Amino acid sequence: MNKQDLQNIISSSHEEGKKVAVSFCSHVPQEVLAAAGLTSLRVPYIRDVKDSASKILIRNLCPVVKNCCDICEDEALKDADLLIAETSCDGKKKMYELISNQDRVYFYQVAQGADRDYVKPLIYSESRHLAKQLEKRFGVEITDEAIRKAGELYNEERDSILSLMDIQTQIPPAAWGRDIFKAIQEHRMIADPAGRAAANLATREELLSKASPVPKRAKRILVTGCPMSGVYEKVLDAVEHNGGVVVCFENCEVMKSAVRHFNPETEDVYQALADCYQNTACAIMAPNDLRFELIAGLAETYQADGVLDVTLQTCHPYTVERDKMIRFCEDSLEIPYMSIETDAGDSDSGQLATRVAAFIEML
Amino acid sequence: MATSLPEHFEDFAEARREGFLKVKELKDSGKNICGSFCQYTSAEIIRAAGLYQVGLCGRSAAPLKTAETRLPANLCPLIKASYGHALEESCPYAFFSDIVVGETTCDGKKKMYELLGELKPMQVIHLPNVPDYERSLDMWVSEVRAFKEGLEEKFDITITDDMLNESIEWCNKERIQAARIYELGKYDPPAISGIRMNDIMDGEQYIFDKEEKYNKINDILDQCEKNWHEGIYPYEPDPYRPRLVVSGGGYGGAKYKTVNVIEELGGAIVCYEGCGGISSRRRLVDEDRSRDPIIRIAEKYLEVPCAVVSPNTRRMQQVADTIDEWNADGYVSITLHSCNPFAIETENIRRVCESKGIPLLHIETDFYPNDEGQIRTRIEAFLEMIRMNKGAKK
Repeated sequence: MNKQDLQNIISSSHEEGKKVAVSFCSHVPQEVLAAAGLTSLRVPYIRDVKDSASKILIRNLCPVVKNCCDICEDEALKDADLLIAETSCDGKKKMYELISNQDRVYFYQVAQGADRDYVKPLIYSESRHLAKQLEKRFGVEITDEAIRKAGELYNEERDSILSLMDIQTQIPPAAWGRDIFKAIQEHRMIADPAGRAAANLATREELLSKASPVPKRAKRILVTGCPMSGVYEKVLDAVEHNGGVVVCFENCEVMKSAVRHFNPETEDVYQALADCYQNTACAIMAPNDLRFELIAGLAETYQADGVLDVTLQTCHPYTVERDKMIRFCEDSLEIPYMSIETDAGDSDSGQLATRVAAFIEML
Repeated sequence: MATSLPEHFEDFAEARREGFLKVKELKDSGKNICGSFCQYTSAEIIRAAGLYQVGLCGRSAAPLKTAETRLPANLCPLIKASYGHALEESCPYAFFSDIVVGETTCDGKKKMYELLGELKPMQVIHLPNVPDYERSLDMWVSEVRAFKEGLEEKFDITITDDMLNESIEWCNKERIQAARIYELGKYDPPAISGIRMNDIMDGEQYIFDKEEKYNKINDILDQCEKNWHEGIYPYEPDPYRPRLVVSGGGYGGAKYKTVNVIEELGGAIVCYEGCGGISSRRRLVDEDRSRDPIIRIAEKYLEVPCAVVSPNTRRMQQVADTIDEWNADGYVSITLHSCNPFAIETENIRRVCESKGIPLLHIETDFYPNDEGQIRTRIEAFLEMIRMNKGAKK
């Protein structure tokens, strides 16, 4: 996505009489925003926005946090009606407080674990509070039915990502991981979940209709870790130009958000949201057992030869969790593991390629 | 002037070292020790459980290398040192702790506790992230209650409401006393030096006899006030001496190159704001015994304006109030390397200072001595600028 795309979605939504809510994290219950009749955009890394972070934020900080700051302060977002500031990681949480025009910033509280008694009730009450605030702010009514319907739509999108990813279970995998990740990224420019689902499925058909470009001997890599929309090109090139192929992405952009489901059968829709969003295998959760379970399952389903943990500079949730992940992969799963820490610049591309190539060679 | 120094000052300056022996004596006599990290931990509950509380915040560069075998290098030194001490068993306080309680104040600590929990019996308390009664009190009460119940289970005890009430009232008494220490900084010239203030607040957590501690602090405060009224001040008279508020979190391991240097170069630290400062001292726990003590405790701590919460409007109000009440000429925010919450929040503090017309100095540092010279130069320039603002000639 570039900033022109973002501006286009915002202005075309406004032409249709729809308000626009922007968010940056998979903890935000998109169903509630959609049920309020908003265009809800979960915005990925955008390269061509104006730099504001260097004036507002500290230097030693995660590139995603800096980019969110740049996006929020950029003119591309000047007409957005609402920014959802989720209290996921420290960096984003505190950054949101510094954004201009706090009137359109709404803080959504994220639970910090999956195993505690308070977690489901908190997601429940925070979703409800969000709904109430949207009703007040935009003069709309959010019915349970609208949330249920949105839940079904988002389920379709989640399913479409799962089926697109599923083509990589083949031997050899049906496509380069990079083409899949890139397609999912590009589809985020589509304003509605149904459109995104259709586009994901179309990509699946298109990739399946061709013979796999991936050599059979390519080592099958499971990528895990931080959101990587800002670094995926160099990371995936490092893998796929050096004898590997990415068979699955255990990250927010792909599996982490797609494996959760909203159960439309649940009578209380807010309960359904709590059940769904509790299952977010994000490292801000302490402990984050879900991520370990997810990795174990994905490593098996996708027959991974190695795990590549991609972390971003000063993303403490993921970098501190790394020690447990190393031991889990090497000792419990007995699968080779490597971690790389990177940021949005290109200066480490060469070094990344060398390290990743050595890792793949060893597999 | 040395003769007029309150006699107990040195007890507090040395308390952390002396405490090592005390804590061993306590252990030998069958007492249980609870290690903790943060103002957010309810001292009321720990005390009601009959536990002796010790601070485990690391402040030494020595265990950093050990810690980095398991933790990322680009991480706050406090987190690394705290974990490193436990890993190499080099801190007697951590070593003797029967239980360690950690609060999810920041991502780094929260995730480090998962590793620390492999070494020590731990109880983790999840903190609210939005400081709002309506939205967060329920979850917070649930966590505070779980903490109390966890201690009951671990030590096979029952913590009654009466026990909680008693410790609530005692902790309030200590809080009022602690707030009084900072009140001494409001005097012009201040009735206590910033280094002494810090020694007391830092050292008091390692003196375990609560009555003895309370009385000693009272003696110090009384003596300081008496001295002031007799014209005996901790600083030489100087109309241009900058009055500073020091703020930030967890910088105990860096105080010799920051706090001490500020005063050595002629600044007067009149108050500490933020972690360990007045933040948690000015609000008391409601003493209405007809209400559930756990809820009353939770209410008080929900108002701690720690950088873990967003939007931290209460802290910005507190910064503004502190500047006014202590008549501050400048603000110094000391944050540790890669401490995202306090470092990012410093920008908001800078904006408050700007609206109050006073300058802010942000020092980002760690526990190594490498940057001592650079920090000294920056402090010198900052103080010089304030002196000029106050009308001093070059």
